[in-house]
Amino acid sequence: MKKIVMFLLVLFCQIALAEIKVYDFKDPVLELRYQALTEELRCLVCQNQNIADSHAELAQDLRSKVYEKLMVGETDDQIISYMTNRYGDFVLYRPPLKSKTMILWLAPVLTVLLGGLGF
Amino acid sequence: MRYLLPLGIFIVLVIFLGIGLKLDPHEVPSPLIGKPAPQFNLPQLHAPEKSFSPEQMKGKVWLLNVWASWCVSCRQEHVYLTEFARTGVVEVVGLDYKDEPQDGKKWLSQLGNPYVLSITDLEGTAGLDWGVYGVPETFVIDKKGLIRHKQTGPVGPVILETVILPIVQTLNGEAG
Repeated sequence: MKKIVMFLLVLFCQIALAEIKVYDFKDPVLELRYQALTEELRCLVCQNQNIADSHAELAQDLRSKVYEKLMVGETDDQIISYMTNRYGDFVLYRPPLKSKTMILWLAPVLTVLLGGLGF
Repeated sequence: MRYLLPLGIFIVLVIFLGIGLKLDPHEVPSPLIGKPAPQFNLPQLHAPEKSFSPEQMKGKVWLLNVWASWCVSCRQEHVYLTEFARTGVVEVVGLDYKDEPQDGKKWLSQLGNPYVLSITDLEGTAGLDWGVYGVPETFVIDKKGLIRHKQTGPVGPVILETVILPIVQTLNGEAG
């Protein structure tokens, strides 16, 4: 029995180690903003993950950057522009509406309209 | 005649998909092109008591090559980069990214050192400001200190000869 318990404890140890570093927030609003921001930012190494989900080292760095900036009282816009100044709009899962991204935003509407025209 | 429209749509679709296949999603265009090189002040790898900041290179065209001893594809590009630097066409500064200084020094002594100097970026802070996301990366900086080109991933003989070299030559011709 003791052996089994020890074995299980060892297993749980590893799970704890593999977990993503958790940041401590005293203010629940900040925590929500942290969650929203890290889910909105794309990890550039594993491009189909946001930085909240990714284990890549760069994602860890960016998460700690977001935390750091929230702690010194920066706004969401300031944090987002910090990221886009370095990595471009590519870091955003929802790219801004610009002349360059126009087709991205309009294509679905155009497709529906074309379909409506009977093509 | 009735097949013309579907055929047309098909051709357009194939062209778009063809272009899509050729695009490399890992090549993210850097927003830093045409902007001043982000400043930093970090210790030199071989002389930690001395520091380096990009400002010191003002008036020169130079390359910043981001490397690390743990980076496998850096090893791959190293031979070509060393050969390229040896021609003396441009000064190459190395940024040892998130690497232990002793590992970096060992790596250079084993494989040869193409850099006029290397900088220790232990925490990756400079890397973050330069938008580094995959080592190796190579930046071309002009005489005014503006970033003019970024190459993500290892540089081989083809990229060095057909991309980097022409840019360096053009920039050398520009006024400082």
